[in-house]
Amino acid sequence: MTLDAELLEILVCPNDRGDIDYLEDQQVIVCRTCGYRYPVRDGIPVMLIDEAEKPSGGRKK
Amino acid sequence: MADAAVLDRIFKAYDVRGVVPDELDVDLVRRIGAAFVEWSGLSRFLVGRDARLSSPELAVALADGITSRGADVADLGLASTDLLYFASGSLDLPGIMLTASHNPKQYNGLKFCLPGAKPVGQDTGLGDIRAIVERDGTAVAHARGRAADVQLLDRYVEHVLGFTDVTTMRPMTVVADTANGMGGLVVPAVIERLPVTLHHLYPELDGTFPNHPADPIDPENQKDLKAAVLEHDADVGLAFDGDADRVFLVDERAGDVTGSVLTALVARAMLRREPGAKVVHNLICSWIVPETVRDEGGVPVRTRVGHSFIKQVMAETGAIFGGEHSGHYYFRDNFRADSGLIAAVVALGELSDADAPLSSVLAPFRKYFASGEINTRVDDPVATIEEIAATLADGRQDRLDGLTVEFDDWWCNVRPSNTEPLLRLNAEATTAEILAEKTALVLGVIRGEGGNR
Repeated sequence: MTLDAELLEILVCPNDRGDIDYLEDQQVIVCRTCGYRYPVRDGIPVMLIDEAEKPSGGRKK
Repeated sequence: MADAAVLDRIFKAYDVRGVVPDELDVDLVRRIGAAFVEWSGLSRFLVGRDARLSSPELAVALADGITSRGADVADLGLASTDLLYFASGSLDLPGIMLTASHNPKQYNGLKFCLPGAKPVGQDTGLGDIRAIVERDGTAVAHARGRAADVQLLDRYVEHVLGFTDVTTMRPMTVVADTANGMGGLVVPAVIERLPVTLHHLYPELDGTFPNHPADPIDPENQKDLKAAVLEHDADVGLAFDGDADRVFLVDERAGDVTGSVLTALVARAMLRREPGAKVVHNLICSWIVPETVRDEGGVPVRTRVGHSFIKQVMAETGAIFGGEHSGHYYFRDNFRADSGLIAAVVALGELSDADAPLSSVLAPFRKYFASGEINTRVDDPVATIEEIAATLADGRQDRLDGLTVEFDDWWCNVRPSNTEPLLRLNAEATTAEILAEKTALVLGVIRGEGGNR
């Protein structure tokens, strides 16, 4: 899926369906509620829990 | 698995529905998902699911089938059917809703739409999809598509609220029974934005439907709602079906509001917004529907029974609204998709404006007496219809769907079932006496009393 604006507006976190922010400079998508960080590779968000960077000792689902 | 006999059973006129896993299992759902991609040739698909116990597993299989053909999935997660249609309309994407609507808990199924919430029925794709499922053993994987989770509930709530004026609405008390179905997700999200005190029955999403079946057309399933309306002195009661696309209302006295009466009320509201507009109704709706549309300066358009006919005629005529006696309400400005929630919100707006009890608001619409649909098993539906036509030769007849005969003080329609040797009779009259007499007359012909069968 390409990173079009429309998709970005409705995308949610696959872990807890929380709202997300796209940090363009870091090429990463961060969940506002669980803090999982998803990489964006070649303009494609990799919204997979297995690929996410989890906050250390952070909240879980 | 998936032999022709099973596919015959589960592919219905407008959707797929079957018992899990005997008729519908993960493998078949995966293949149906892949077949929809192949048939449509499109590259991104919305999916949503209801809260049935089998839905999570089938949703994984559905996404797998879609991505196996290289297409992407945007997953709404738990959703109502009207929410999926809204998503399809507003994002201009095709969609699949995993739901068996109001069926018992052991069922599941799929409803399909094309971009813009365009319907997919037996003759508009479902038959071809079925043929692909039957022909293909397994889906061919090449470049696999991606799946992402998306959320559109907030946008849908704003969209629904756009059908009324929230700022001028008076405080009211509403009881909603969502029957542990998907209305539990969308109904409170909308009602909480209105100046309304909500008493919500069975809000939990529970695929075991522990309280009563999620099928409000059965009066038995409205008993709790009616009791709660009286107990709370509520202004109106709302009953939603399992996937929350259909709604039925009860008034403040716990009296039934038929689909025709609600169609008339909503039609009046829509015509006051857009004078002269067209309103579509199917031919078993009460006389009150075309009569109200004409009284409000609109143009009534009559269609055959069946949701693909309503949507098609709405598209051809540009009609603002369409209603079916069965509790489906279609709005031009909702991508012509049906939404019980929008109908309920429009009705609340009318009730608010009237500053009178709902039973008073509806009194002018409750002037005819209807038989309800009476199904009779017959050997030869076609011959029986001809006998009725001969018996009622002095009436105004048309053959838009089965046979309709109109007189000055009553009318009836008889139409054959598509799948069974059944005749469906609907009759309506200006008095209960005429209704009883004429219904008996037509049923006498159907049952072969005094005629050959």
